[in-house]
This record gives sequence, C-alpha cells and structure tokens, in this order.
Amino acid sequence: MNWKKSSLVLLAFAALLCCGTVAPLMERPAYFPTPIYDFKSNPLTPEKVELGRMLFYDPVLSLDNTISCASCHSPYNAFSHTDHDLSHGIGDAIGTRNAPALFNLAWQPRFMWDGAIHHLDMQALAPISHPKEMGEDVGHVVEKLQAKAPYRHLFWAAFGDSVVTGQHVLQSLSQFQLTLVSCHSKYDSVRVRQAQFTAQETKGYALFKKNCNSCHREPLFSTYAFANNGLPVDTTLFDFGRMKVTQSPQDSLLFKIPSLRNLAFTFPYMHDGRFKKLNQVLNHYTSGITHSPSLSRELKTPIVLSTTDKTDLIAFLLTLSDKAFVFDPKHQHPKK
Amino acid sequence: MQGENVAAEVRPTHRLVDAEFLASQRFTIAVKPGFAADKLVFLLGVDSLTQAAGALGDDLDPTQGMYWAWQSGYINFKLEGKTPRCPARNNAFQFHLGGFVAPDASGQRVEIALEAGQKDIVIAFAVDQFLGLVDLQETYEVMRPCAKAVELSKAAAGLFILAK
Repeated sequence: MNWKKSSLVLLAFAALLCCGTVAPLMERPAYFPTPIYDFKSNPLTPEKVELGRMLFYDPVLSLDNTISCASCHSPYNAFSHTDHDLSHGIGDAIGTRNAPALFNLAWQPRFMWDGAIHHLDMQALAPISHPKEMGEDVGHVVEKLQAKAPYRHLFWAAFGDSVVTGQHVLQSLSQFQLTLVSCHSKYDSVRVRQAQFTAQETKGYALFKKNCNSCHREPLFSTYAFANNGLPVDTTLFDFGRMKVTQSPQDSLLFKIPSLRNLAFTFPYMHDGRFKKLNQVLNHYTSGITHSPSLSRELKTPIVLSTTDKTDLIAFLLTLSDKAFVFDPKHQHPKK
Repeated sequence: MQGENVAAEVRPTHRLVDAEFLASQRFTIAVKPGFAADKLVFLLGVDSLTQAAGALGDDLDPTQGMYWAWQSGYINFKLEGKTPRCPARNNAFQFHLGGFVAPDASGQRVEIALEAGQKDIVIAFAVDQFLGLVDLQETYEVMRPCAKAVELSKAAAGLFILAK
C-alpha cells in the first residue's frame, strides 16, 4: 500500500504549489485566546471536515431518519434554533431547553447549558441518544452508515478505513463544527482597525464594558463559565441547570454563559428561550433579577440603564452580527 | 505504578471484558526476558486522563455501550439482571458504575498476587458476592456518578480473585 500513499502525497503537494496559499480549515484570529480543543488528538483535514458536514446535515443520525443536527442547529441562525422556545425532535417531541448557537467551539471547555459534556467529540452522543431529540443509539447509527456505499467511500477518504466506527463518526462531526468560527462581525473589523463604530455604537460599547464584560468577556463575548443570571425558575420545567450535573446546591440555577455574538440571528434567548426580544433581556437585567443564594456576584447590585442606554447597548450588540459566518457556503448544506 | 518494576503490559491498554464474549476475556502477555511477575495490577475502569480525552476507538469506542451519552464519562463496570425480589419494571436491576471526578471518582486499582512463575492466570469475579452487597429490594438502580457507585466499585475491586 505504500506506493498508493506516496503518489497521493505527491499529487496533493503539486496541487498546493499550483493554487498558492490554502485557506486554513479553522480561522484563529490573533486576538482570540489559545483554543482549548486538543487538535493533536484529532488534527483537521479537509476530508474529515467534509465528512463531518455530511453527517451534520444527515437525518440518518435519528431513529426515524427525520432529524439531523441542522434541524435544531440551523446555519441561517448561527446554528441555533429560532422560532421555538424549546427545541423539538423526532415525532415533534418537545425537549426542555433551547438549542444553543454553535460557533467558536474550540474555545469552550464544556458543552450543553449545564456543562454535562466535557469534550466536543462526545457532545453529539447526547442529542443522538435523547428520546426527545434523535432517539437513536450510536451503534445503530454506525450500522446505518456502514450500509451506505457513499459513506463507506467518505470514511475511507477521511480515515483510510471504510469500516465505520463510533470514534470516526464523532471525530468528523467535531472537525466540521470546529471550522464554525465567527470572527468577521463589525466589532471584529473595528478590532483590527478596518472599520469604526458609529457614535451610538461607541456609547453602547462603553455601557457593555461597564455592565456586561465580566461574564460576556470580549473577544469571545463569554467566559464560558457558569452563572445564575437571576432568571426565576420556570415552574413548568424546574430546570436547575448545572446542579443536575454536579449535585451541588451551590450550582442551583447556574447555566453556561452564552456568547453574545450573532444575537440578531439566534432569538429566542436564555436556556429555555423565554425572551423573544433583546429588549426583554435588557429589562430582565435592569428590573427582573430574582435573588437566590447562587445569584451571580456581579448581579447583586442592579444594573441601571436608561431607555437611551438600552437602545445604544442594543446598537452595540448588533455589531456582533457576523453575516460572513452565517452565509458562508462552506458551512451550509452540502450540495451533492 | 511508581517504584514497581513493570514486567509486561497489555497492549492496547484499555480492554472491555464482556461476559458474553469469550475472546474479550483472554489476554496474552509477553513478559520481558529475565522477569517473573509476582503480581497482576489493573485499573477497574477508565483512568481520568483517558476520560478527558476525545473520541477513542476499539474497546473505548462509544458504540461498545460503556459511555454515558447524557453526561460525559465511561461506565467502568456494568452488571444487569433480574430477580423476583427487585420491584423495578420487569424485576430488572441495573448497576452502571462510573464517575471520574472527585468525590465521585469510582475507578479502582486492583492488585492480585501471583504464584512464582505462573503462566496460566485465571481471574474470577464473585458475582454472587457483589449482588450480596446490596438488598436488591432497596438498591437496584445505580446509573450515575454518586457515593453509592464509589462504594460498590470499591467493593467490586476486592472481588477479583485468583482462581485455582
């Protein structure tokens, strides 16, 4: 088999020489911190990314072949689920939370609103097996993929092995998701001095730095830590967030702090989608905080914002919308 | 394993021993020349470094049914069965012992003394004694990281014995 491999390498090398510089599979802006994901365990390749994209958009991952990852993580919504407060899965089963937006995943230490998953590779197992999401078993997914010749070819091209394994399914899904980097909003252009904020956006940015930056820290617009932001528990759900995972009362009502990037595309807001509009979110922070022992320290004294302040702040938040990311054809449904 | 001379290691290092599959219960270990092992050491469960790693394959592949989908982590030890005493649906008891973060870290080191120059080593697990640790009428479902899982894992570790 050695001669096949070396001729393939020669061809790839020749192609690189002809085409000039190749765009990186995953962008890493200089002002972003160091990624957390261990790329050594799963180095990015175009074939694995493409396989991951095929799987992401394929409802074969679900029990009745109707729900794909994209059903709840829609590319036009920065890979979140809009128009529904709680996401739904097979047979119109309604879940307990709103699917979060997917971008800048390489910088996140834990996944899911309660941080139940500690590695991106293993995250897909949760929706795949949840009875109200995809209702499947990863072993059965592997069997279904094995039976499809196009997938056998894709797995061979990506891993040099046409035998489908759970590991390879998960690693390729990770690879596609890792390429979802959002760093071309107006804020980013201003950051690299290629654009300027308007006067209103500048005021909003100052308000943001004063009131929001400690938890929604730039440039990722989240520390990705867990916090209780004063939302009263929904008594139809009784979702206490991180406490479910750690069993610690100090974690009651703590949820993962989401990034504020792409808010224009990702309504409704919060873990249970209870706020449809950004104004409702800001009103919550100024006058809706429910106190409890685990309330975030930063929210113990009320945030004060006038009506004009709120308009300015929203103007700034809208500079975090990244159209280039949302409309990038590389992230969309594969055409074939 | 500091301070110990390792005479031989099983490779790959992580193995799923399944009572249903005889082949999974057999290992061949090539001992370094000049060494005679005086004990067998293994970790009952998956070590925390491996737990924190990404998607792994072979015996650690999530399709093997030993990985919790809803919360990251491997199931170190799984025992399921039925008994009329058990009040659960279909009289079924399920012990899925896992957890790798303190205080619910349930992986256990097991050490078994060997006879000098022993070549055929048979390890037995006393299932009846494990089931005797609990009253199946009261305790029949342990399926998440918790103190009970740690307690049962510690006890299970002591139930691996050298069979004559």
